[in-house]
Amino acid sequence: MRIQIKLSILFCLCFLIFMGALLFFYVYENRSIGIIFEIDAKNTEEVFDRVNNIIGDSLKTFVYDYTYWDEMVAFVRNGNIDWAKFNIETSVPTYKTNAVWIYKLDKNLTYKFQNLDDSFYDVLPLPKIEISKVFEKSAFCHFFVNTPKGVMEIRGATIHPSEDKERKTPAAGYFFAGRLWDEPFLKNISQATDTNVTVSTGLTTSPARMNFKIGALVFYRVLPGWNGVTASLLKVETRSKIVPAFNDFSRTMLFMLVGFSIITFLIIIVSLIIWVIRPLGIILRSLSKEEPEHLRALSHKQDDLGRIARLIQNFFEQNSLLISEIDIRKQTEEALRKEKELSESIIDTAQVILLLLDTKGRIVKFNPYMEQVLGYRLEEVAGKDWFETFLPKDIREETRVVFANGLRGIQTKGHINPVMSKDGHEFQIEWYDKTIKGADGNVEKLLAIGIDVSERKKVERSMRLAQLGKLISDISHEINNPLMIISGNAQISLAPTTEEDEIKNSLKVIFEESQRAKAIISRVLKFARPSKGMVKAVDINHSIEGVASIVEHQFKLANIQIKRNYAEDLPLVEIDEQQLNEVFMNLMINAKEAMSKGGVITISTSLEKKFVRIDFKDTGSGMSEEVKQKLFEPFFTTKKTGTGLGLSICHGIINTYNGLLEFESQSNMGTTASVMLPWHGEAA
Amino acid sequence: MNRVLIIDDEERICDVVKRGLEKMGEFQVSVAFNGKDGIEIARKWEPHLILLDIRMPGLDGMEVLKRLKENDKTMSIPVIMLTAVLDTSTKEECSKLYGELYLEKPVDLAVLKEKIEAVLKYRGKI
Repeated sequence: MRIQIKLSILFCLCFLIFMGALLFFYVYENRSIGIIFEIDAKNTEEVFDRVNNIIGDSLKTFVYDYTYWDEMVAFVRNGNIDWAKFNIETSVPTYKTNAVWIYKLDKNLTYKFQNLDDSFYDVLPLPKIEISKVFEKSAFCHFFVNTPKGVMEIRGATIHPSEDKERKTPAAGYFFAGRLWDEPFLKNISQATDTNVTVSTGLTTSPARMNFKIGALVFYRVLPGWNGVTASLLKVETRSKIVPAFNDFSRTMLFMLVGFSIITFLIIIVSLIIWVIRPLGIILRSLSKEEPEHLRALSHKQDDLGRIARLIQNFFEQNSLLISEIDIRKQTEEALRKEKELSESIIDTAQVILLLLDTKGRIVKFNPYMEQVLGYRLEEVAGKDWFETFLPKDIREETRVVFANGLRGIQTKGHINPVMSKDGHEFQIEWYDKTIKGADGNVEKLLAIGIDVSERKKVERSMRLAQLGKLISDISHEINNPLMIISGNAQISLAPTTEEDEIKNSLKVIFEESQRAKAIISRVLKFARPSKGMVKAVDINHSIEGVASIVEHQFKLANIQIKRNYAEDLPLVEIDEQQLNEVFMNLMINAKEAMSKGGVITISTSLEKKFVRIDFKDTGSGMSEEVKQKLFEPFFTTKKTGTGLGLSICHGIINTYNGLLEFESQSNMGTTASVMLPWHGEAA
Repeated sequence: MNRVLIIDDEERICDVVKRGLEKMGEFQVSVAFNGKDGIEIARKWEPHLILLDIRMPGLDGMEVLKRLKENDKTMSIPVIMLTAVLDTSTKEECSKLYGELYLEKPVDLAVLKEKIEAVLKYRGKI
């Protein structure tokens, strides 16, 4: 459930509880007012009765005082009207009496007085027969009678002598006095009691009625008749002064409370809306729509929600960063996955051997092609020594040296060695390697890429045989020519007609041609078996300089300048210096012959990783593509007097020492012959 | 006197063969050290027989032979091919196309003289 709804429900509950409290307060106040009103009404009734009694006491006193009086007894007996007029009629106003009736014991009216100007009041408005009955229980009577001019209060007493205060002696007669409760009298009572007194015509009494709101009180007093039956009712209406004031106070207080409550609740509502509900709505909207810009208005506030907004903004920023990082990571992972798939598919489909060895030469991994070619599954040979498992015994040590060189950074390029398959077949594999370094920069593994050149080797062997045939043919040609010259000159010399001088010339030619044949044979042998001679550590700069100094004079005659550009501190190279000088000599003579009109030959030496490089750069005629292709072919020559074996022999010598002989040339742009010789020792 | 032209890039071979033939028989010998000069001399001098080396720089012997056989003046001149090494295919080509003789170096000068004379006799020159 949303917090706004919860707060709304909580607020409604609080409101209801508060309203309940107010209602309780209202009811309690009403009840208090009721109690106060009841007390007030009771007091009012008591006051009314007391005042009413006081007002009525004059009539009572009149009747009481005049009925235990000897003179009254005498009057009843003698009927002295003057006495009566003097004593009674003069007292009537004092006692606020409207009529007086005196009866003898025989119930005959002895005296009457009335000031109401109505003959009705000439006799007691009571049947004569009832006169004695009203005194049966007491010497006094008090009752009300409805008369034409209104209700009349009548009080009566038996008449006794003055000494009989207890009225135990037989009555001498009956004395009655009447007071008409007319409007002035009632007004008098009303004023005296602060009420509104009226005589009700109905005879049914009802309990006091109260009206709390206005503090009105109505109560009744029974005016009993002579026979105990209600003669009439006195209705008294009054208004409480306390209750309306209390009511007003209470209502004002209630209104104030309600007003205060409403204001309080409004303040709470507005505060909740401003401080809680609205910010929460913004936060909720921002979170649900993932739009942090909504939080900008909140984030500068210093309250808790402001902090939350800042934290959420932070969260969004972090989230955004995280998402972008995740995107980048996903892209990277995808790229890596594709790269991996590509690599794996290359590894799986490559028609070359991919072999991973550790630094001890143990098999770490190889690709399916190697499984296919050599018949071993990786699980069979993983961790085993590569050389012991796959290589013929006689080449293991030699290949270990190549492997060790690979680990030292001397990259293997094109090394060919036989590899044995599981079923005993021998494959010729040409190797290229690459070291794989770990995080610490140390070589951890060696990746060897092997190409199955068995078929190529077979073809090459066939080609070699064909080439050998051609070589033999070439050798025959080269040898047979001098042989024919020798043979022919010998025959001429042997002829009897030949003169001595001619014989001498022929013999000279024979000698020269036999030397020529010998040289050819010697070169052919060198070409066929270029073996290492006296190998020693050679200072290349020194060696070159030796050759250069020999030919320099001839070069000068041919208008060729030799420029030297030797690197210092070149390492020594293990090689047969004589063979090396032969190579240098060949290359320099070739350069000289390419510069028939003179030029410059620049000899440079340098160190390139594990190789010492020697460059012979000439400014001669250069070579065409056709010539370059046949460069190392035996007996191929562009010179009139050349044997075509020089470069073939140079190539053979450099190959013997695992070096390289390369030519960079274009027609009419000069040629650079480069010799690369590996070194493993210290610098010179 | 029969005229013999020797075409060979080896000057000393030309020299020894020339001297040998001139000593051993009645031959007037001329030499050319390349195919181009040989063809030129053959056209002008019209020898009775040509000794032709096969392996030569520039125009080789087979090309020279072809050109000699294509020219009216030289097409009837018998040619003996001289070569240090005569492989089977060259032999077959020589025989098939021109039915010429061939001799492998080193050739005994006496044998060479006999072969030349035999050819010339066969052609009615002797």
